[in-house]
Amino acid sequence: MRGSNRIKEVVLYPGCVSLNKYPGIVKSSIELLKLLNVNVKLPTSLLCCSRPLERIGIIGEEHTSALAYFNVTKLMGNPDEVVVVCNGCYLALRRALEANELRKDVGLKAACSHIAELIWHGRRILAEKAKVKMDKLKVAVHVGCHYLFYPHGDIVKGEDGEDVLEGIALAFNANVVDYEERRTCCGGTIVKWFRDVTSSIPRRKLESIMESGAHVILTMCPYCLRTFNRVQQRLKKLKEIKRIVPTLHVSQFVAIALGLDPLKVAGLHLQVPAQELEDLRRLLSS
Amino acid sequence: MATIDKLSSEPNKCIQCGACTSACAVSRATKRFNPRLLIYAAKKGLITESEDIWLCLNCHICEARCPNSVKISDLILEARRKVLERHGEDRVLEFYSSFVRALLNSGVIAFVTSSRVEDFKSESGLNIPMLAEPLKSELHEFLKKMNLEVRLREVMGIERE
Repeated sequence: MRGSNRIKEVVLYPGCVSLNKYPGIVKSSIELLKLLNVNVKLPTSLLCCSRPLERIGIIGEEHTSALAYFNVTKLMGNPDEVVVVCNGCYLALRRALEANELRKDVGLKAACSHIAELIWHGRRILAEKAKVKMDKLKVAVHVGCHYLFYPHGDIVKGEDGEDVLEGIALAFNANVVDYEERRTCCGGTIVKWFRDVTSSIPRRKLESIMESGAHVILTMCPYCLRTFNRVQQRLKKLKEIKRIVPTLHVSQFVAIALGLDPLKVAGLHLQVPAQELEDLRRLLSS
Repeated sequence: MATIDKLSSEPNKCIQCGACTSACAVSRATKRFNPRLLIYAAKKGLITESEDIWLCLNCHICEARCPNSVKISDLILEARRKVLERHGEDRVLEFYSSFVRALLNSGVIAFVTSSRVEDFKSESGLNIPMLAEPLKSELHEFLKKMNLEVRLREVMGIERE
């Protein structure tokens, strides 16, 4: 799939956080893949990619890879292509699927792509079908460390020097705002007992986004999305901020641009507070 | 990410320039965290003695900035694994054992906790089943072959259920 627009079949691996916390990401991704003439299948059962356990140190890379092989061979039917919607799943599955010596042992044939890559390759086709004007929307993009730095994703820099999310946002005529903390971590992987020591990391990032005047944060990682939501909710509760900057996954952003239902397809009501959602709808319909 | 053997030569590649520390988000948040010094500790075989290994976000920006591509995040993760093997960090058990239990028992670590999410999933045809028999037994056999089930139970101190 990488670099091509061929019609084919993929298995969409939804991941635990997106499926069980923000299912609108999964629904939007399915609809977009259909619009790109890709047949979509889902795994027969859900098994975690196990990356959250690996980053704590509970298990090693070899274990994460073993679970990836089980996932791909037993629960996905050993397909040609696996598409993920999460940077953590991307790291776990892509690394395992690219370990050639093990591929041979297990008889794997799958490649792994991120949905953002497929959207990026198909962005002009998709943008031609756009029904909602995004030109009044100011977008702060956050690609995420486990695409930017490890593993290095395929579209860290596009043909005009823009990153994968910037390229997509620009294709739909949204305004991409720059901000000082653009390349820093969301802070979602802080170990829990050091939360007090490191809480300034997501806070600094969010302050930088707010200063930029962005209406939304655009990300490609449900884990980063969850961090931005949780930290803002905490700050709002403490009355340190008045409103939350809604965070959208790239699949949701494009689904909305294509006129798909922001609630029934993108499921924004499950992640954006009512007032902020109303503000966003007004911005997109004006 | 590299295997343990491949990692043993990593600390000696470090030139102590500090590019890692200058790029690190945690080092900006707290002066106590310094990846450059952690690599120095790794050179001296002392990295597992530092509590600071638990502050790393594992974001890998240090490796992206390192002129010698030292696998700093991997060294820190390896140190965490060693500490856990000797049961040297109780807080992992305290904070993360529920994740391991969830993975062993149901295959996932993040669950639906809202009826609105449940309804959305049902209406959207997204009710992918949790791991059930016979696949669950097959997974456990597979984990045993990889010595993973033993590791998860031993490292986390989880009794067989």
